[in-house]
Amino acid sequence: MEENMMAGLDQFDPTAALGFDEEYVEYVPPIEKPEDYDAPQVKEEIPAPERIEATFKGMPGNEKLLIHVIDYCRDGKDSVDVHEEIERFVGSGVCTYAPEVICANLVAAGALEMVADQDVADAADVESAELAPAAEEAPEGELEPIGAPPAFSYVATADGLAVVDAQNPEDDRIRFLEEGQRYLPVYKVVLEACASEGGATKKDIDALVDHHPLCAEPRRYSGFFVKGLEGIDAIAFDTTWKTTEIGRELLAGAAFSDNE
Amino acid sequence: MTEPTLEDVLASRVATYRLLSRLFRVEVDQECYDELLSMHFPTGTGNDKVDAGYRGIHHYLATPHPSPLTELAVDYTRTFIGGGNNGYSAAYPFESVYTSPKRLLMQGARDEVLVAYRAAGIDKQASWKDGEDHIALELEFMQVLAGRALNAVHENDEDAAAHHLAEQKAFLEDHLGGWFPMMAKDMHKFSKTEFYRGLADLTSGFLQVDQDFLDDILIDDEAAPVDAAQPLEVTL
Repeated sequence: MEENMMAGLDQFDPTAALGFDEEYVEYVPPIEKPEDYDAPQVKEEIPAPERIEATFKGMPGNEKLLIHVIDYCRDGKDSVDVHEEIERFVGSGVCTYAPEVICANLVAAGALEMVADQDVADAADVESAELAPAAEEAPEGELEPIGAPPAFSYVATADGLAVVDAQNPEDDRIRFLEEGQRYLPVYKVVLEACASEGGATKKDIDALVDHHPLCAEPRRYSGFFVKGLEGIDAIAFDTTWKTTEIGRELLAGAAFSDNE
Repeated sequence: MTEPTLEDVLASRVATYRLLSRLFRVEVDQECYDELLSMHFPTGTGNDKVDAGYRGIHHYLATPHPSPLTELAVDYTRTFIGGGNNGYSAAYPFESVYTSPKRLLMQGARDEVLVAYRAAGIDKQASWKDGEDHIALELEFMQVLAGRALNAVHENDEDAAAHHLAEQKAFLEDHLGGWFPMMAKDMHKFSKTEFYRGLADLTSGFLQVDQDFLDDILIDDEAAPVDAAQPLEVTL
């Protein structure tokens, strides 16, 4: 009776393709241990310059801040000062990273080093020297409470400083203007707007750029020009976009005069 | 230096189980971090793993880190949650994973510890959404039983104290002592901070020490009643 009834049903077996024993079918197959699970982990050390480059690429829009932080730590700076300097540098701008995270990323990249304050370093050295022979016969006792988080300084590494020293903003500006020759009239309009009293909002710049004949084909929007000018430090954001001293010099310079 | 009394040892066990349970339960927050900074870490306890564990945690705390709470939170996630789905991508903090062939949650081990909890009149809080065989809950269970044993000793109730200690011995043998060493090995594999590697060593070592203590004390207890005020040979 039962067999006859079964014969009339769909014989589809969803587990057949998985090759389970018909007498012992369970939904979840046994999980095999990966072959390399217990193998020694090979630590591939990526060179610091590559790590620094990857960090800069991974934090787009913060390149100048990262350069500034590394340069600020050229001779070593207390961590608290560095964090305050980052907040000061960001000012009214926007940075999605906390100062501690920016520093942690630069440390991980090998652009900064952390140096414990002398007393902490001494204590750590003594401790590690005492305890280095492992717990062979460690004297019974207690390690002193640490009390407060250890104070430390950041010092720029040679690899980090190499990135800073490779910066040449003057050359960058010349190259920028040469490559953007076609758009010099638009840059000029934007710089003049931002140089006006109170600067220019994005809406103001949109109004100038959107109907400019040079921006019709290929279509260019205000962001293209703002990003370019900000990249060469010609404008900066401070509640509105304002032309910097560098921007004013450029505006008065040969590049824009010749263009008239 | 005076030898610790039974009460001292029991109180120390409660405190250590509480600490371990807290460190496994959730990431280190500011309150916990401040407490760790103010702690005295023992050395020369007589157990290499305990010493190595305390030393690792202390060294991490004494070493500068730009953002220690963030770093520890990241390492907690990397160590206990992981990023894969093959069952071998983290030191999963559940007994079921280490005691079932398919490395699944909510297997027989969870049912067994649930029975043990309920037999002791304990249930998890409604806010706890994970399995009851989580390492933090098993350690907290030991903390509760150790606290009961301590209270019984305070009240000179030797039978109750012996009963609670026997409960702990059984739970340690049947559960924590059996599977945690495997998890400790995985913690070493996946964690990247001295803190969580130290926690693995400390917990492994402490469970060994506690197992020895319970073996000794229960044999002693069977041979002769323990006087709580008398110095004790066992140190933790």
